[in-house]
Amino acid sequence: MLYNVLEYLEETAKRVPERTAFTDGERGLTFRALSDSARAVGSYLGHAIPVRCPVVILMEKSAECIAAFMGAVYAGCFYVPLDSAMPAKRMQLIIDTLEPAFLIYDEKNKKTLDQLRFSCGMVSYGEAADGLHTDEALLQKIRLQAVDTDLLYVLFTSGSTGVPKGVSICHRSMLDFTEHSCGPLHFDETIRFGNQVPLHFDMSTMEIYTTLKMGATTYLIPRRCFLFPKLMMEYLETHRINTVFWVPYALLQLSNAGVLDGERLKALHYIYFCGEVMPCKHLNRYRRALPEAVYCNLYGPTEITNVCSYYFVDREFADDETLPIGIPFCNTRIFIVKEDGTEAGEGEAGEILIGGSCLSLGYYNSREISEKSFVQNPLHDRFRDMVYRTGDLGKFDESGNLIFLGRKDYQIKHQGYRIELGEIEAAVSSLEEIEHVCCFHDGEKDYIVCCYVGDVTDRDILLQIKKKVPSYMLPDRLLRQEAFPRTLTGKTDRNALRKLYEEAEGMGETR
Amino acid sequence: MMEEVLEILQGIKPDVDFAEEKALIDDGILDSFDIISIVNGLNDAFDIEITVAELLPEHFNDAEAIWHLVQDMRENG
Repeated sequence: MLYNVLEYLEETAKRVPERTAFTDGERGLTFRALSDSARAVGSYLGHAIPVRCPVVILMEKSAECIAAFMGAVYAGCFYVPLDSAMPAKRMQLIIDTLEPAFLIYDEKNKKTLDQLRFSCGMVSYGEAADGLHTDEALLQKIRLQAVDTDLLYVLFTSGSTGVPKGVSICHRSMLDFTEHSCGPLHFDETIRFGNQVPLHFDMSTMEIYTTLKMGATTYLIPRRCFLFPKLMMEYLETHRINTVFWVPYALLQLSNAGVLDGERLKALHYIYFCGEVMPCKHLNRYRRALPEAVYCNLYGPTEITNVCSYYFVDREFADDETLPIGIPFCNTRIFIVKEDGTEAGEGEAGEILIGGSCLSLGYYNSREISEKSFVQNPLHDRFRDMVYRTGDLGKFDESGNLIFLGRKDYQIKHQGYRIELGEIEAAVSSLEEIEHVCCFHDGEKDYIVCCYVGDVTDRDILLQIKKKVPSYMLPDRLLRQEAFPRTLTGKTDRNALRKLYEEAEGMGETR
Repeated sequence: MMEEVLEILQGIKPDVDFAEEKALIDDGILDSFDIISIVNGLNDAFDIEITVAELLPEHFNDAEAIWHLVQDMRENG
């Protein structure tokens, strides 16, 4: 049985050494080069620091960055990617929580180092990856003491308190995910991923570890392609990208720009998405433009290693229908617990709980917060049976598919009614003219606030959604935007929208 | 008119020195949200319609390029 992700890299580097593993289209690394660089970095770190320590990687998205990740793993350590696009304050909070043992940077990120306070040693990637360091005996010694519950990486997600939470994932969880996802998702060595999300976002681990296991290739699409749809079309076409795993917003940028063309994207076969709700209206535009492609909706929080459920779009969906998030991967348990603490039956709503080897080992250096989310299975107390409370609401439909109903925190009390903000969003989103929508609650004034992008008047929105939702669910404030602010991953930045609303209400200064 | 373009840009991203920056795209200073805001701002101010065909990095890398784009659009668009 596999117990270390490096076994993927080593097997594949033996099998197809000259194949490109990761590339931006111009510069990349073959599996052999990746393996050589990783062993050099691993040897350098192995001489400098003990095993099981955090190593921060502050590098551009590149094949070398992934070699640095693997280098940290070769040293028996775990990697933590930082991105200079993150605000300096956030990076500092992460460093303070993490107390890293070492830091690897590249030339482009050298300037960022001046803004950060840290006390560990550091090295440039170029120096660490110098093959002269490689010490096979040391690497072997390190591997012999490794176990599959050792940490592999820590990825920081935003916490509600404003302090980022470091989701700690061990080898076993990543191996469990990769072993059980490649089959159902049709991943083999012919896959050519077009990567969208940053490498500090956990969706990217699907691309990295599928590539390592299968000997597939990941194209790290340059950022500028996401700004300019014409460039993206050229990129996807030139590199014959056949698989994308993107947040819905990134997909919508192509369909909204009107550049989708089945004649040009002949290779694009698997269109997978995750991270936010994909409105059926937008999915339908894709299906009309690229009818031959296979579409899959995936779901899962970082805390359970990438994704835990998937749904292949196997029928027509009306614009105002909800796309299921599907069924769990093998060796993952998903169940729903109602507010009264009992398990929900078919069609009954409650919180989504997840169990299995996919479970994170908790938030790094934050025991208290971890114990709130990683808990004993509330259905029994006979033996230790840890589950993750997602904070998401869901239900199973009659065909056994999981339906996502919204965030628990998006459930609000308004004029005495309990309301799902997601339900209002879905109603607004189904209108033809609406491109994007985001609702939140102004608790102080008890207003439902609805921000939207689309060529339509506030009055028309209200008139049309009146047919779909009860009157107490109608937004009290509508805020039209030219575009939505986005987080680094491309998700709607709800906090930024709330600030825009507060400024518009003249509340900006009083808070 | 160059001043007007600069004013619009400055209004959208007050924290960027558009008169000085020469690599708005290459250095990752603008994100997709900014580009949409800039395009909408220019479309409204100059009564033009910048389409996907013009949405290319070379038209947005500095204020001068953006100004040239606006001029072209006014003459030909």
